[in-house]
Amino acid sequence: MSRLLTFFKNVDGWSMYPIVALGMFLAFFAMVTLWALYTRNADMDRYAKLPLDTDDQTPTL
Amino acid sequence: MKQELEHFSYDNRIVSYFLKATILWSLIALLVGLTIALQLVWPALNANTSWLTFGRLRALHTNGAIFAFAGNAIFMGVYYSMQRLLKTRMASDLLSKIHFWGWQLIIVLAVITLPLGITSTKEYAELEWPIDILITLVWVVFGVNMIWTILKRRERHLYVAIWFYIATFVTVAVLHIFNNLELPVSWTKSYSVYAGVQDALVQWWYGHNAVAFFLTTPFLGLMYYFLPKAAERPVYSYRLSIVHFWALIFIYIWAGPHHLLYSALPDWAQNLGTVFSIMLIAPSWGGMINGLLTLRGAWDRVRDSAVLKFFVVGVSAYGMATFEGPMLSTKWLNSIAHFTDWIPAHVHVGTLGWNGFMAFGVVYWLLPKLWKNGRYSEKLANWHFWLGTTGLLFWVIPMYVAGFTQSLMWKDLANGMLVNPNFLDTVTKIIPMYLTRALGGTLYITGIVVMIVNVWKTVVKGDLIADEEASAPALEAHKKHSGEHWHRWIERKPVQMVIWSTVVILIGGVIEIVPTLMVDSNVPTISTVKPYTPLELEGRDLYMREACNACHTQMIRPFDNEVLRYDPTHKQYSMPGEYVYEHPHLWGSKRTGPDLWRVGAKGYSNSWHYNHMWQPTSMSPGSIMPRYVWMFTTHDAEGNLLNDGSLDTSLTQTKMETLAKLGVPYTPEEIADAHRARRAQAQAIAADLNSDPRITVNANEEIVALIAYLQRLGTDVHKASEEELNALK
Repeated sequence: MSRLLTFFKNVDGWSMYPIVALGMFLAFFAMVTLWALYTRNADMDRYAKLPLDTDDQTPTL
Repeated sequence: MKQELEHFSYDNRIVSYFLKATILWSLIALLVGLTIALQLVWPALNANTSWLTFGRLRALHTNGAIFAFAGNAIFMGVYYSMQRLLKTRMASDLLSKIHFWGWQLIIVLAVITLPLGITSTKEYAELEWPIDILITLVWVVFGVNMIWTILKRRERHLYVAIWFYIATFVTVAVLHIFNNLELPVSWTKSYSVYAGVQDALVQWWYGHNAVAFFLTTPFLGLMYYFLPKAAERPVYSYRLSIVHFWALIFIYIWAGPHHLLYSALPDWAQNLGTVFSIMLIAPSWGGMINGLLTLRGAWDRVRDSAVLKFFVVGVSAYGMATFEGPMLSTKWLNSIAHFTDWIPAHVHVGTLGWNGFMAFGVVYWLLPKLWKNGRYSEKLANWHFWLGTTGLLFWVIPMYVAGFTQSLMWKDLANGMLVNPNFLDTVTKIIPMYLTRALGGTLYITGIVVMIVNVWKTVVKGDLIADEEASAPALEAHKKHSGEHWHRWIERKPVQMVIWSTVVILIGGVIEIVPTLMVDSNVPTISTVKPYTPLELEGRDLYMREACNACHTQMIRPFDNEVLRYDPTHKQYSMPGEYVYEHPHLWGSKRTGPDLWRVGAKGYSNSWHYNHMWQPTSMSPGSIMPRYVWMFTTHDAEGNLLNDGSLDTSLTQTKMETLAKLGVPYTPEEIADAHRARRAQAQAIAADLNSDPRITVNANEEIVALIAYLQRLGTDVHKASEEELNALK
């Protein structure tokens, strides 16, 4: 544990980590956007109507 | 094939409890706000009473508005919408009730402890450690009930509102626990485990994300459910809501450091806060646009529906606040607005506009659903809407003017000299704006009173539908079909949703905070900065008890006007190494009064401080600072004790031992010698004060300890050599 703490206290280049995180976000964002674009319209329409659903017969997926 | 229906009922009683609590606490929290707003115009309104004074009540107002008003509104909407979206009753009525009464108990404890000065001083997290533990337990009860309900649902797909609720639960839990890590001194006193720069970063990581995950994500969940219900049409784009959700929770968690621009926080962390704050515009406006476009084709109904009016202004206020926030996170605008009244204006567009109006809209929408014959007066609801809207405008516009005025006056330099060297001039200039703000608050509260009348008349004539009958087919086992996307897997598995939401929000927190906590080079120490003496330590705790940090900052930013005003002899801005023993930091977030970080080095005499605390206007004519008479021992003309201002020193050594455990270098000898050292320093200050023929003071009065603390501020760094300070720059 103490070796790990020593490593963290003295490691250089922490300020580069945010750049890595930004890259991670962009990749993640691109993935979610692509997913949203390629999902079937029928599924989206059904999900969007869930709050309005007062029909007890609504089938589940 | 038609599926067999299962019959069950929704628990409306718990929703009605939270609805009533929302209304009650909205009135109380905002009345406290109005009280302190008026005290900034007429400070004598505190009646020289400690528990009625601005510093103590300000925390009660903010906690009341956030956790009592907005908190109960969140739970009201979550308990109603979640049952319907999942087609099931809440998993446990008992847990629902424990959650409700536990939450009200926390609020009542806040109402008792904060005015008594029992506070950790960390903004929006002022409650002391036993209450923090209670909050954790009640929050876990809420989370268990929510996830249990999700697991027993009859609808496979988790609607996007539920995602926002899950993210709220997870993130608030993480933020609350890490920000409130503190070492107890007694049942009513603790010290943050973090110090100075690290404490500030953790605090504003929490503070910003309390806004994000307590005042934003749950209300977005409510928007995604109640706005389509009120408009009677589905959300404009479900695709957009998905991108909105993931982008928002990923980015928000990074933005906290924008509260600390130009502070002693390392530059890389400040820049990170700025970049991610600007990026936040995209998902925030995505959500706002999605909300407003849900009303496409239904705008004509806004004219006739108070509910829709509240929602439209609420979502618009969200859009305004989430554009303004990123702009304020840029260094150029932050240098103008930070510490001024612009920031409360920005905050209140969010709380009064977004949170308040969304909550009111949900309340009105729920009334006819929860009570038979629950048709409320649309006319009164419209009155509420217009009073609220007018009140909001009267609140924020004068504060924007005040913010600009303050900033321009603070920064005004001519030939390298301050044009307004007396801070008080910048205060007296904005008193009319404070008065107008109080008028705005009065209008807003009048609207709430109108709502209470409306709700009261509706509720007494209607019968609560405590258990609303419903039916739905049982949840079928999932059959995977071709072309199904990976996200389907997360959407239908709540535990995975919880885990992935946690991972997403932790990425930002870990990358920002761990280096600042761990890497020594982020907080270079200064050899002359030493721990406080026992008396100064007690004085600092008094400063915290009175929440002086609510009006006075302790952070001199690297601007000419600030070093000239707050450190005229050395012209030295604040550096990270000065705060290494500050558990917690007291940087503050608003300058209603001047910065005090170097006040001890500015040459004020002990008697000046003594007189100033007894009657601020005697030293600073026109000051709006209240009197602190309870810190003095006073007698009437017959010699009967009026107020015992004696300093409680029973915990002095325990406090030093606690701080020593946190790394403050108090030696065992210093701790053993604490009382003697404290008495000696107090007697020296008292002797100096008593040399003024107009002053009679005992060394054991609280005011002596406070003076000792104030006189210490800023003196350590002035002892450092120029070489050492230059090396640190």
